[in-house]
Amino acid sequence: MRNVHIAGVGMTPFGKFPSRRFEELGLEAVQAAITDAGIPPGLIEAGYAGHARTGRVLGWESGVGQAVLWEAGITGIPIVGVANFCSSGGCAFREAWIAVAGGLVDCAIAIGIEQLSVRADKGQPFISDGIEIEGKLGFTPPAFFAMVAQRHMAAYGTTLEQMADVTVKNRRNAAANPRAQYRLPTTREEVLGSPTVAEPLTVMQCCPTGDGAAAAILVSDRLASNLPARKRIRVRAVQLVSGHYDPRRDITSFEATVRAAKQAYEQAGIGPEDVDVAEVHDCFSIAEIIHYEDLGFCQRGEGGRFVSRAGIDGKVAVNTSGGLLSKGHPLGATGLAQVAELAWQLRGEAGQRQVKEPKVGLAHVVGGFQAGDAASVSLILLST
Amino acid sequence: MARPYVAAYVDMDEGVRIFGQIADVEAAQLRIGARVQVDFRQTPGNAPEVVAYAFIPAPEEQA
Repeated sequence: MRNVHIAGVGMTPFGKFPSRRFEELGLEAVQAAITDAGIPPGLIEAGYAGHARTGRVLGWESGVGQAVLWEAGITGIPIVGVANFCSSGGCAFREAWIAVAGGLVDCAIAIGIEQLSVRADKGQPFISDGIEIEGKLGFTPPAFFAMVAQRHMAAYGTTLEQMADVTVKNRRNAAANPRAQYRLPTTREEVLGSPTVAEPLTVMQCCPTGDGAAAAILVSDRLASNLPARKRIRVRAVQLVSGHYDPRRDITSFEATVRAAKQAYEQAGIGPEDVDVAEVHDCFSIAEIIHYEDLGFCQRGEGGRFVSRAGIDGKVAVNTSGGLLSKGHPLGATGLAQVAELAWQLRGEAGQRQVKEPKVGLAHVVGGFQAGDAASVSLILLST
Repeated sequence: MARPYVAAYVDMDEGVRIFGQIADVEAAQLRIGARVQVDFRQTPGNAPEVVAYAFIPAPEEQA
């Protein structure tokens, strides 16, 4: 496989923009990435668009990538939609990486896009494909993660305060991120006092739905050599796994995350102790806690205590963007928004939320449910 | 407003794990590891009206 570099990234603010067309959101992210890369759009040889719910919400199951790139004047090249639950953006990145690493092209763009604010069934549980029957019985993502939280509390003594502190930390980071959906700082008391969605998770421990787009441009060594050195970000590992769905698994861990991380660390020749900054799939407060453990940032059961070490100045700076909890979670856009945040951090361009000279970044998205387990986990490791 | 309901995973003695609601019990009385038995009824919570299985505390839990 050839070396792959990130030449440019871009994203829209995340939020609720029901009056905007999805093509506009995508175009904004694509143009930002092209400007950031400083390359002519004609250099882009392939496009991959991650989107999870455009079919159900907007009536666009296919053609999202073509519609967006057409607005940017990019036509004629292979363009493919990539749907894989909440990991769709990470998977679009992987397709672009495969194309460049495999030598098919020297430049590919990955786009992630979603517009959820316009959905007709607002207020109803938003459940994944494949769990319709469980959904009628009351299965929702908050219900699942509430069970994870109850189990983690019983097994390891994790506290309500530690879970609330995940939201407090991510909101503090989001306050310094002009693209985040929720930017008002909050307190442990406010988080715990907000209405309960699924005990013990209060609404401020559940990520919002929203709209947005993000993009990344990947290039080979040949094109990367034209970039200024400070701009160049190396793609060190890309891994995608599905679950094994052990019917009696320990729900306080996603085996698929453990496996994807192990494979990524082996591919990159770096370990969890080397990761300086990480964007992880904090769809709920407890999720970030179990990801710390599954990604190897701390020992099993120590996740609750690790929250205090995951701030901007911590052992690993986790979700400096605000994460899904505060930056927002327009499903297909999330994986590429994570990549954008890591690129800004590794280049020292993250402003008020900048981590001190990070060298290695990790992006992690979890998608869907299959037999009560994660259906898809995407893991990306980047370095300066 | 949908009424609150108790969501749970139940590990069956036969080895499988099933998602379902637990009925006829106050959430505060439940504990991880409690024994339950299956029952068939209108699901107690949530909007869709379906008749399905639910779990209720096993007799030994009520002693």
